[in-house]
Amino acid sequence: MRALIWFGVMLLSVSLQSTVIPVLSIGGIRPDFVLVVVVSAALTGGRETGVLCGTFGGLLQDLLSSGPFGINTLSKMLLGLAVGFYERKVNQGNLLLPMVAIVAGTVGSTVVSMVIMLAYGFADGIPALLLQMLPMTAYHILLAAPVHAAMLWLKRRRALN
Amino acid sequence: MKWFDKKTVVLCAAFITVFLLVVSAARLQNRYPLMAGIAASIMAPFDYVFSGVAGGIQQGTVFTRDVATVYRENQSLRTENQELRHVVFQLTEKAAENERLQAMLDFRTKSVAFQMKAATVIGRDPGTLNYSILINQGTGDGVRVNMPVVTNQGLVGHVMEVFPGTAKVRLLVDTGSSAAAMVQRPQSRAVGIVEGNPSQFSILRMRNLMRDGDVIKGDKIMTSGLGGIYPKGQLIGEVVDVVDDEGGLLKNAMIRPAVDFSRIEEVFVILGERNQARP
Repeated sequence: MRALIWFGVMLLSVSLQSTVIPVLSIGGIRPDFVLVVVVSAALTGGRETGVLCGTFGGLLQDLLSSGPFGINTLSKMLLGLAVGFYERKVNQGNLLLPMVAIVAGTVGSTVVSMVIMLAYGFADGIPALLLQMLPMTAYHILLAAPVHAAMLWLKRRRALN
Repeated sequence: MKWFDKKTVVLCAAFITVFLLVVSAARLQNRYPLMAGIAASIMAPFDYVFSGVAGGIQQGTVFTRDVATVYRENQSLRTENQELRHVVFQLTEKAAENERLQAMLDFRTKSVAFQMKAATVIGRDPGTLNYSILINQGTGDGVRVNMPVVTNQGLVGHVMEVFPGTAKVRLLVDTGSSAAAMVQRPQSRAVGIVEGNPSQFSILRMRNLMRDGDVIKGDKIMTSGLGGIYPKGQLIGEVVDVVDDEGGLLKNAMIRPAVDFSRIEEVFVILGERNQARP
């Protein structure tokens, strides 16, 4: 049941990423909403939840996008795993936490994406990836707190029920 | 050993599977069309719902942007409107000034018998009972006390005080002002004295007219040249009413001045006749 809820969350995230988020792009920069959700899911649910959400969300993104397959799956899975390690070491209620985590998460995800792009032989796309990293991080910081608050709400609801 | 528990094994297996999938996709240029089709089918209803939301957001964004654009344009047009109003005001003012000055110039050209000095009204009497104006010509410009002041419309008054750069002109409508006058009509030529009317600023009174004097409504009244201040032939106004003097042998004529005293802006000071102009 718990896994199903996370699957549902990731389905919604990917759907939002492909429908609403492009409308909210600023200067052509689109935030990776799925990444923000994975970071929050990992912070609130732990490494298993992080890996589950990262893998599923990333896989959906890769399957639905026209980019190199695996960029999102691998980077988000690793991100979910890495952030999930801190689940019990931090105060989850602090909304500054996802903001800090998302900065590290965006940078880490970009690095992983660069490695995969190199492996695919798409080195030409790396400068663009680096150029959009900073504005994307800023955008992610804006999204991090509300998304994390929603995750905490969801977690409490599940605990209550 | 915590790191080798069941969950860790599952995580490692998942990671390896994904890694192999990625490597396989990269090597074989394979995008797993079957899986992609399933994913697209699963996502379709969600995308359908959220695309409506996205459309709403987009419309809202466009609307907000349009409102902001309209607001900016409105501000810009308001500013432009104010500037244009100011320009129109200035142009209207210039046109009026041009018209006045043209009329004054025509008058001056026609009045060849007199040497005149053009002057601009720079002030008006601050009191409430007296009517005088301050002009920007004084002793340094040849202006002297008792010199007549006229416009192209007619007689204005005379210089009552003169200073180095300015002069004060007593208007004909002032109650202390008087001018020897006569009816212009050749059949009449009745004479009298025109003075300010204390009961009505806009109307002059011509007194000392004989009861049987030939004065009728519509007669033009001009200076008679008697009295030594005003030269003969300057238009004063038009008779609007004739009333008998109480218990006397005389009658009065009410005259509407030819000059609109409330709107005088430029005047001429008559320095003298052309052949005997003062220095």
